[in-house]
Amino acid sequence: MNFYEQTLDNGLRVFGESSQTMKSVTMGFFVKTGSRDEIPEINGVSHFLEHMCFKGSDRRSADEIKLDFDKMGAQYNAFTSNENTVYYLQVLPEFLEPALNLLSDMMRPAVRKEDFDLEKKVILEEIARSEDMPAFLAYKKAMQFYFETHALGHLVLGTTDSIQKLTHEQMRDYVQKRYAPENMLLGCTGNFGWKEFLRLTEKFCADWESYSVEPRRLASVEPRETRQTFHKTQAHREQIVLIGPAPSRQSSEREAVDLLSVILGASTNSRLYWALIDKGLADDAGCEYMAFDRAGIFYTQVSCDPERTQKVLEITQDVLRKTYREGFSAEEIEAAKNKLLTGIVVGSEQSISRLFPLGMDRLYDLPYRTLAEEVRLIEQLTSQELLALRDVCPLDRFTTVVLGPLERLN
Amino acid sequence: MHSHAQPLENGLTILGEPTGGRQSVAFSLLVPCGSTLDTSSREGTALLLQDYLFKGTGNLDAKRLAQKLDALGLQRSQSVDREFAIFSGVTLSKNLRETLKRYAQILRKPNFPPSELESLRSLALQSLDALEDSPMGKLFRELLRKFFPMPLSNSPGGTRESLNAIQLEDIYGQFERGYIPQGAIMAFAGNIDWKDVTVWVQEFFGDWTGSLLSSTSVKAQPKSVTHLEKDSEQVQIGIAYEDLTPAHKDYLLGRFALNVLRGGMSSRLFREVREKRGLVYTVGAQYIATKPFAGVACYAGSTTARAQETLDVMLTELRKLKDGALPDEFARARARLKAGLIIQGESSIARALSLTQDWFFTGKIVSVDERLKEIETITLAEVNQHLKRHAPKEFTIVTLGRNPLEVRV
Repeated sequence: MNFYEQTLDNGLRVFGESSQTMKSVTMGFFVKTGSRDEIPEINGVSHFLEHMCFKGSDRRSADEIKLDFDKMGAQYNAFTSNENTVYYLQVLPEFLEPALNLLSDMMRPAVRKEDFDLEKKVILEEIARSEDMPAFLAYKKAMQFYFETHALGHLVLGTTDSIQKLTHEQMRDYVQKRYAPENMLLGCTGNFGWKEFLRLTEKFCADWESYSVEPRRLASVEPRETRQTFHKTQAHREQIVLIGPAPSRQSSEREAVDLLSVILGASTNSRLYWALIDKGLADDAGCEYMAFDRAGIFYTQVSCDPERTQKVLEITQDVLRKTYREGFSAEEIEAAKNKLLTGIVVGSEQSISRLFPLGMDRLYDLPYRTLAEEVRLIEQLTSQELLALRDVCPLDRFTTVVLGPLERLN
Repeated sequence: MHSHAQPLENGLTILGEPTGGRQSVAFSLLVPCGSTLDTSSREGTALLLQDYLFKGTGNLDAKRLAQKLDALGLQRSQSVDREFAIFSGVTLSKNLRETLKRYAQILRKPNFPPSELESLRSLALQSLDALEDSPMGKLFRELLRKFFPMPLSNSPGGTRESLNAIQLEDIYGQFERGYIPQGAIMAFAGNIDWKDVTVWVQEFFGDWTGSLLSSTSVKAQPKSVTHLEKDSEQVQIGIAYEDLTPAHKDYLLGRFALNVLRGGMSSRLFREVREKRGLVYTVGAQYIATKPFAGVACYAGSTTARAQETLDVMLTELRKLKDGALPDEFARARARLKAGLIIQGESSIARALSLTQDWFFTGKIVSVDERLKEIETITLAEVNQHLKRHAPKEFTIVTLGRNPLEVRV
């Protein structure tokens, strides 16, 4: 595998990792913008815009975009998070040029009013759909509650109200402000030649106008120890979410936190698994480390029978709070490392799973690491590094959200 | 890339596809213990039994066993379908022999500690409840319950009543009947040495015995329309119709047809329901197969006021299929089928599962190259003839939401 990186004159950063043994090539645009970069009046615009990029440019209609994807037999999609919007496609190597032609064209969307009005209905359906999924609702509520007025608490989908009020002029203004070459990144992985890819990037993207983007506001987050119960009569299971602070994307401790989340909350053989699932007290329990720009959270979610909520909540808190007091056994660390390492190796064998971690690291200006270096970083972790997380990921106080059929918790 | 198949005397078949340039190896182990083996009042036994296997073997209790598997760096998963239980995983090739040895213990010599039955039952019951919070999951269960012939229509997850009735004897009995080498399949893909693999499987599974007592006979259900009431924002819509089984000689024609209906974003359902009318966020269709019976399940979710129009448009598109595909649609379906197959080849686990299914359904394996050639030779005329003959006419429909919908012809 060879890694390459270059910046075009207009500020667009381009990277590639080529591997001749792969059968496909995956490319993607990573735009450094998400719900965190929105003001409340236009909440949801980043995600809505992601949909609109599939609805046509000055050169292609909505239909033509989809036809061009499918003619190549491409696998393609896009996603929006709090901080990023990512568009990608995976094709056979022979389609390198038409693939980049299409994807780059989509990054200059037309945002036509009639397309905007029609797609608004799809977005409202997507929000309605999320209202019918209690596990997702609990996540949304907990994030809003933890981040309070901080921009990381903005909902990625927006609200029915914010989407209804949004105009296509506001969206055009937002694209203009956020989709500047310097705020974007183009990446390619798999079976391709770097020189050719760079030549094509120049061909399709060099004429994008260069301008500067207002830097992201990076207010600090004040963690809160609070609890809120949401009564959802239609739900059958009680959802419990606990959020506490964790290191940021830029932190050197993030591999250690990844390991910690596996030890505590992997779907099998983790501390929460043995305390809750093995005993039949909860049907789902897991931890996730979510790292943001200069912020991070340690996220835990459990689903249980409503009448067991109090007990399950206490056990979950207890497992998390005891983390550093109990310390870590060599066997436990080894097992968690092995899980992470197999994941890294398997991921490195497919162009599509290689693109995202590489792109994310570039978005946060982190240095490139070879596969061997990634593996070494995990292998070198010891209980010292895990214990040292106590200060940055204390796991002693949480924002807690309980959502489900239960009216209130004692 | 060359594929291998070797049947053993006891009825187990070993399949392999070595791929260069990989460190990982993927495996998939299929045993003929699906939910159709569940007796009528004990639905859910196969699923409960599969989880029970991991509660201990030999001198290893559940925790020690999980630790041993994790020490092998194994990423594992398992599931129960109607006709089989499947265990799959990925690990580094140096750990494969040890992994097989562990799985031989798990599949052949489980301890079934009686004290664990209640927690397993509780989890199975909770999974049923969790389905109520997952509208699409619930829709699928109900749709297949109405659509599949009996007893394939039984849901692998069981019912509250049947789960509560399961006793240890049911577990033991089903284990004897279903965890047997006859009809079992073990497939390997990625960084493997075919010779080594066959030696190891022989070593750990060669003396495994047991054979199937009887095959299941199925009884078709009449086509029906069902509404299930649920206080939800969206109405979930499910429409199912029959398609050719994987062993049918024209099976691939059906894959072309499905791609025209719901392949990429330019396919008919996506374009008509979402692109032109903005009726949904989700609209899809997927092929679901068992040996004797197969079909296509279409689904969509739409807010209450717009659900009727969604159902109308979906049915219109399904009925239009008999008129055939256009040359452009056919070309796109072919491009997607080809690319999908080649791209799948990058994933060892996808290849192992694909080999397993090929063998299970058709008794042979098809390499990626052979399949590509088959796809190349199919013509638009053949696809259109297929659509004329087999286009869906009768539908099983299930809706889930506040109000029932009208099925208009």
